[in-house]
Amino acid sequence: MNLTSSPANGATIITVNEARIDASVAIQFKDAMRAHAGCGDGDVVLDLGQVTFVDSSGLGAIVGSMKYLDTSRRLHLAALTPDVDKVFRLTRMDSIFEIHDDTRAFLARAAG
Amino acid sequence: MVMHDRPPTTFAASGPATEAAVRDLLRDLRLWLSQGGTPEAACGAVEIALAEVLNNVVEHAYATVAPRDPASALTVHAARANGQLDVHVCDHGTPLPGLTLPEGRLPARDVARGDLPEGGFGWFLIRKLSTRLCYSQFDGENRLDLRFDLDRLAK
Repeated sequence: MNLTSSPANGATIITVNEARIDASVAIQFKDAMRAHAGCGDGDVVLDLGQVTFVDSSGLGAIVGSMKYLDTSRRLHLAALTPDVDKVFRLTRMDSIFEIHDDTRAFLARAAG
Repeated sequence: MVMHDRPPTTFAASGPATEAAVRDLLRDLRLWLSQGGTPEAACGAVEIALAEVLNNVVEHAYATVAPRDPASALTVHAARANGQLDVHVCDHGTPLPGLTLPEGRLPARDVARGDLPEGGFGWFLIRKLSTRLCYSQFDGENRLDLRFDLDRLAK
């Protein structure tokens, strides 16, 4: 599971360099998220711009990653592609994350 | 592993009960749908629903039962006509509990962060995206028939 991360305005941006977060990689995704989110204290922004498909296992892994974070840290989602957006909207899990058009939109808000 | 009929209004594929095989099958089915002119939004909706159906087969039907023919533990047949897509998914694993389809109610979200649901979305998604759903069990074979309204899903 290829994730990369970088610090930005006190937050950590984690980019998923994969096309799918599905049942076959859900556990690896959670492990990688844990490694990249680390023990920092800022919010985490998950850049899903390259991800074209998430199934319910992938969705569960994203929720699980949020639960692992310290409660003072929020998990934001950025750059949802159409099918990924559909899964979040249908399950109404879009209501538990802050969702941004892209990471730039998040940074603009964080800076403002 | 995959056979495409001519003309391509039908699709048939089979594979082992693994998550990797499910991935391949979904990719092939989506390619077939897309090449047949199905709008991307409808392709996505069908892929979301069938991912849940096929992962259920791998994770539940074959959790404790070995397939009698491992190479074709699960089979998918699909046919498209008049804006509708009919899909039959068959396996030889454990039948659904009580031989009935789960209700597929959405798990509660108004809970503490630590209690947020990490699963239980599958049957909700399947029911939400399909217009007809029928489960039958005969002679050791589980069969789920799904119908999708591609015009509705394209919106």
